[in-house]
Amino acid sequence: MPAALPKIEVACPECGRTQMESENFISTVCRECGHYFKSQRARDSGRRKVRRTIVKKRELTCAECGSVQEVAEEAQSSTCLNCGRHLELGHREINGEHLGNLSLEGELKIGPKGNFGGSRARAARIVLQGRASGYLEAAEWLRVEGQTKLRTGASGGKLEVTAGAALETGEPIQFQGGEIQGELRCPVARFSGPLRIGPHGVLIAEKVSFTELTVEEGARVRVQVAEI
Amino acid sequence: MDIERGGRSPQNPGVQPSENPGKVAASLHEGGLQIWGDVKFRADAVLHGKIRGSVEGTEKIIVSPDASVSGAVRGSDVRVEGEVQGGVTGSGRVWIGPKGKLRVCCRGKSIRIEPGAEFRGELEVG
Repeated sequence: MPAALPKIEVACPECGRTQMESENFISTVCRECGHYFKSQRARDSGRRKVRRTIVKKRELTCAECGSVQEVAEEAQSSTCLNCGRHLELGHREINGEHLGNLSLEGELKIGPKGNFGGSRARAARIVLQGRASGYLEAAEWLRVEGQTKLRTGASGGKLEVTAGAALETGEPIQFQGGEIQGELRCPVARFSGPLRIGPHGVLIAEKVSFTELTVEEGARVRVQVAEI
Repeated sequence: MDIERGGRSPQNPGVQPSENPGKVAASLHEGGLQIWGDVKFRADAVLHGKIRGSVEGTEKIIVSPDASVSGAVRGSDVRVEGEVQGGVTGSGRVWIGPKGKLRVCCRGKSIRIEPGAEFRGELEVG
């Protein structure tokens, strides 16, 4: 005859009546009021199951096909689930000569002695202090902080030319908005949003389009054809 | 045509007539008013109606929404709410409102073009 399991006294949480149950019982029904209840151990183990490691994620848009996917916030690279393209998620700083194209989802900084010699660079944010001969595409913003000549053009979210900086391009540029505190010289500049020229800003162009323009006193603007 | 004195004072934001007590704001304000020829002002001016010619002033000029000028407008501060086909030159601020229409050129010390305005032409500041 097997040995009887040790019993413990448990109280019903509904009516308070006590009854004897096996020591390792999981749940039972009150013999007085019929209320179903779980043992303390079962309730504790249930809580433990809820504990999970939460991985912070962020949305990532593929530069090739435009599909959006979620990646871990700390990830340094990923592969697009739609087109299979390798996506570099980190930042990059160029302080020497860089040949070849670049595509980053992070920030690209071309330092004062840096030279981007590829034909195309794409990043979420680009800080331009040195030189670049290829086309620059900054999804969020392109900030010019040095005296720069671009043989080609540029496009992206917002163009910022900081005070004392200068950007001269050989081909048209296209941005959603612009803030010119320094100097901008280009053949054609298209802004699909507002354009602001600060008090020390200079804009020399053949053609400029915008939806809204503010030119502060002290700025210098020479545009052959401006249009909204 | 040379106008020195006029009617009402405008209640527009942005470029406002000066509060110089020695000069009274002039206003071309008549229903269906049309003027053939150039107009000169020696005081702040508010334009209504059609002007087939140019407008020149030494003070502030406001082109109202119901005004159209076929020629150029010259003044110190110029605010365009209506239509100017011959360009605007201001020795101070130039402001083109959201319903303003401007052609040919826009020159001033500072310029503000509101969204919704129509402009195509040369732009020169400074």
